[in-house]
Amino acid sequence: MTTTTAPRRATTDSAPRRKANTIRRSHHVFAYALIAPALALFAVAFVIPIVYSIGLSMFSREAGSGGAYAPKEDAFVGLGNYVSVLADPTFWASLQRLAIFAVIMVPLMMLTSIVLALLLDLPRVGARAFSRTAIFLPYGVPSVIAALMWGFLYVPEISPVYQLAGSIGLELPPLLRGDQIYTAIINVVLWGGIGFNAIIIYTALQSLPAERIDAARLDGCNEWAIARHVKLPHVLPATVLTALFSIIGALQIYSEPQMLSSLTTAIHSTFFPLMRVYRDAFAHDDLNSAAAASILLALATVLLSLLVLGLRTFTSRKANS
Amino acid sequence: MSRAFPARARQPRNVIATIVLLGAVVYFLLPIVWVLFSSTKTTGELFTTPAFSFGSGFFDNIVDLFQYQGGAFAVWLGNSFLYSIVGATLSTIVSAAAGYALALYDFPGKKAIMIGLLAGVLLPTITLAIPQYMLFAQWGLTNTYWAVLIPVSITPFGIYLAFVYAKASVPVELLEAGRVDGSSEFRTFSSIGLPLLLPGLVTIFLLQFIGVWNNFLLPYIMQSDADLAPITVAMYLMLNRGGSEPILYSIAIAGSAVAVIPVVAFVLLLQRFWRLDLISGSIK
Amino acid sequence: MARRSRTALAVAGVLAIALSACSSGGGAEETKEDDGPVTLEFWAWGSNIDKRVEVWNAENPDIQVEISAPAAGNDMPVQVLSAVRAGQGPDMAQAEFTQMPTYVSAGVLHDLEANRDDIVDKFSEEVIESVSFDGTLYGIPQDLGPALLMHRKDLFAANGLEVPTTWDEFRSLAEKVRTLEGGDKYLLNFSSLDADLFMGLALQAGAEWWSYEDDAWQVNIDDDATQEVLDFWKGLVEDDLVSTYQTNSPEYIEAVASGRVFATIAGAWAPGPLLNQYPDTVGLWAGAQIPQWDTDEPRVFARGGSADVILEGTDHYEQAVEFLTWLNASDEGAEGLVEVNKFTAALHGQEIDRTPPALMPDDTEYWPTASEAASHLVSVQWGPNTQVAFTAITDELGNAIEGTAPWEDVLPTVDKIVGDDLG
Repeated sequence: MTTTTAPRRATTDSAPRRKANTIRRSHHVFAYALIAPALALFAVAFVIPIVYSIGLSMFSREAGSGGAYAPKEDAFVGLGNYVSVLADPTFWASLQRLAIFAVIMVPLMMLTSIVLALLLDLPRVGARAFSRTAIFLPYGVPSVIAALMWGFLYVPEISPVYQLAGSIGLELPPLLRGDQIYTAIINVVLWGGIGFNAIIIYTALQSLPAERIDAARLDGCNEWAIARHVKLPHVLPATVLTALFSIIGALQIYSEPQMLSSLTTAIHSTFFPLMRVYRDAFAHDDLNSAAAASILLALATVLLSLLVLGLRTFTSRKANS
Repeated sequence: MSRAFPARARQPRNVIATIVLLGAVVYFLLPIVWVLFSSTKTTGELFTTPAFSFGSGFFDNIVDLFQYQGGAFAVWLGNSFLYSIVGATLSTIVSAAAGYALALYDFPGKKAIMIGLLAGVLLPTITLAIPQYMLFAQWGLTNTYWAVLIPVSITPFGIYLAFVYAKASVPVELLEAGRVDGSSEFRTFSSIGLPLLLPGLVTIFLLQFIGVWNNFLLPYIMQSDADLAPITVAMYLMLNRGGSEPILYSIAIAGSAVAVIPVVAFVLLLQRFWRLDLISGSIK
Repeated sequence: MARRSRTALAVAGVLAIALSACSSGGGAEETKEDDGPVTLEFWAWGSNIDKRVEVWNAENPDIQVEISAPAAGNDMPVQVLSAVRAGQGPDMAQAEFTQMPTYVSAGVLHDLEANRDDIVDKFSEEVIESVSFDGTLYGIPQDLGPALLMHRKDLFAANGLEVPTTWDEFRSLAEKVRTLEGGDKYLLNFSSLDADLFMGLALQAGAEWWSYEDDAWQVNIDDDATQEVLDFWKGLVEDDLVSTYQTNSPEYIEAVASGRVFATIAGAWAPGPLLNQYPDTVGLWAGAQIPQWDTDEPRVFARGGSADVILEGTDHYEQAVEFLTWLNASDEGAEGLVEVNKFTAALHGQEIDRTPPALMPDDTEYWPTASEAASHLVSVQWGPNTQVAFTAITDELGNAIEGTAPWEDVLPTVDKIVGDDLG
């Protein structure tokens, strides 16, 4: 703002730098103005609630005095809620189930998305536009509705899937019982998520120059070899990114199992960590414990994501060297 | 978008790939087709007739659906559109401005802002929803449209996409040229930057539209006034009515069919505008 | 509703304000202006209550009631509690009897002592007791849900089955149903979601889960009576004599609709939901008394049943109490509730000669059966954290049914969770 009329001379070494500096500073105001709405909203919707949450997590509602039904009273307990969450075996059990879920779901999600993207990208494949749309469509279906639809399709007596399998002599296990519940949950998540990931990888494939493929083809590569040696390396960054999304999504898994839980005894209220947060906050009216657990989970997510991003930097560096 | 394949017309179709692809299509469409068939069935037929057969209750279901709670479904549908359109528009504008600034300007605190926003992507929404509710309640914002619109207006992911796209598509030289011509920063932004950003912004809008359309927890927590609920909340309430009330499967399924139609139309109409390569191109 | 001042938040001490907001309830009552018409906000999920509200609104232009249902069942208290704490609660709400203590101990209810005399003599002493806490009246009872054995009389008749009067007979009958043609029939379904049913069954056997002694709550869920009940159902589940679908899930409804489950233990409200859920079964159901451990001394528990409460922070206590008294405690109100198929808590409503429910148009015995069940209702002292007990029972019973945890763990675990929450 100070020297917008600075002389435009570029005779010495220092002059251009000074000029650049002044221009940059004069544009700071505009840059800040552009980013101000985002920052204000970020403060309102993210920062203040998190600070508030941290505060909540350090209090506890203790039994009040003065009668059997006296209101509870707030008491400062410091890190007490964190200690009791970490000391609770059901918390660790829910993390264990989350790990099982993520370890199965994420690779399946990635593998299916890559395969579908490659198929969509093959030459001479039929019904391409229709398939692309159909695969993407479930991404737009709310999880309340997805769980309702699959909830019906999981019932052997009325599901066309079971009837079809039965008619060819195949007996499918009941998906709402026992460990099959992982299949039931993973299926709903995959159904809703593959489309998004497959389309991202597919669009990355589209940006691959045709000459590179033609050259490989002229070298005698078949489609499989092209996919493996030309296409896959090209979409590696996109794949890593979608993997990151899938991992974050897996760690935040909540609404699909929550919606399915009223259909089966195999999903209880602390099945996954965020379901426990929901139970504490909504069924137990214990916001303090819910806040502590969710802050622990957020920390874990951040750490894990940093790990994945670190891994990506590592692999891309390796690829460049 | 499309690449020219050599001699594609002369060669036969890739049959195996097509079959596998169509198999996947069957899987992805199965529940949607199921819900469309089921929406034609009465409560009795729903549990006693074959899945892919038409029932006799379509008209009744739709009438019941739109008469449920005094015609509330139309209001909920309207709310869903309002939240999705206004929310996506606001977040696209906010993302465009912030992404543009972060991509093309250098200013103190930029790095810290980037890191903070990225960390925001990692937070589970349920973690934020409860404190958001309690704060918004104190600010007198719960039970207003703002209670949903403010939180969905800021999407760290949208800003990130706008940032990536601005970096890739707005050449710094253009800005410099604008400055030399004496054009103001704002003019440069609005007349040069924004048009270049437009395809990317459409993508952000579409992603955010679907995100808000599917959002359940935020409006469920924020709005106790049924007139402000979107259809996701309404569907949940139809399916969780407590022990002494019947569960409204036939209405809920009709509602699902109706709720899925706009999304289908949306995806069909607008998929040519998707620029998802900006996501995949974002990591270089 | 008094909105909290926004300037308060401008202060940097976000946490301090926030926490005080958590505990201080609805805030100060403003001075009333009785001149103009007022609008009361009423959160209620019960079916057909809106029809009664319409009647009231037509007759009382100065006190208009706006009814809405932001949640139902176990989700309701959460919505009410957070709204009231945020200073945005409704004026009135419907509360299950089991939820009353949660509200009272959260400190969000306005007591009704000022209008006690207009209310209490319309109800039985037991019912008034269930809405009174620490000797203070907090709710106006609306409807009762004395448990009945709703059963498919057509299927009973076709297979030569007789309604069981004791739990031993019930088990024998369950065995018999399993031997029927097809091998896929069950007498009853046992769902872990029906935590209130399990609580009722324990109550029937004489359990007393909560008691208040020497200024402290005692939790006694892991007791002999409850253990006996649990063992009984464990036997039925393990011997595959009851189905274990989750109530209201598609597989459960399919099983009942196709006649593979013969009976259900439901409150007197059952005909309404059954008609909606199974419209093809009109005329096929009948109500009967639930099986007993000791037929000489029948004990019946309630499934559901609700009262209406007034929330702390309302600016219109007088008008709210006037409306709720009319709705539930007046003779006119009770008759209206009967018309919309409620089994009223008000004695007047129970004495009315009423037509059979639409589900069983020829069954003149239904309402008398329900009244008899109501006369054997056992009274109970609910602890302040019934909601916690519900989720714990659903979880632990579910684990036992699922086989992921032993049945022996159910009661100790629930006992500990409920006790820890109180302590």
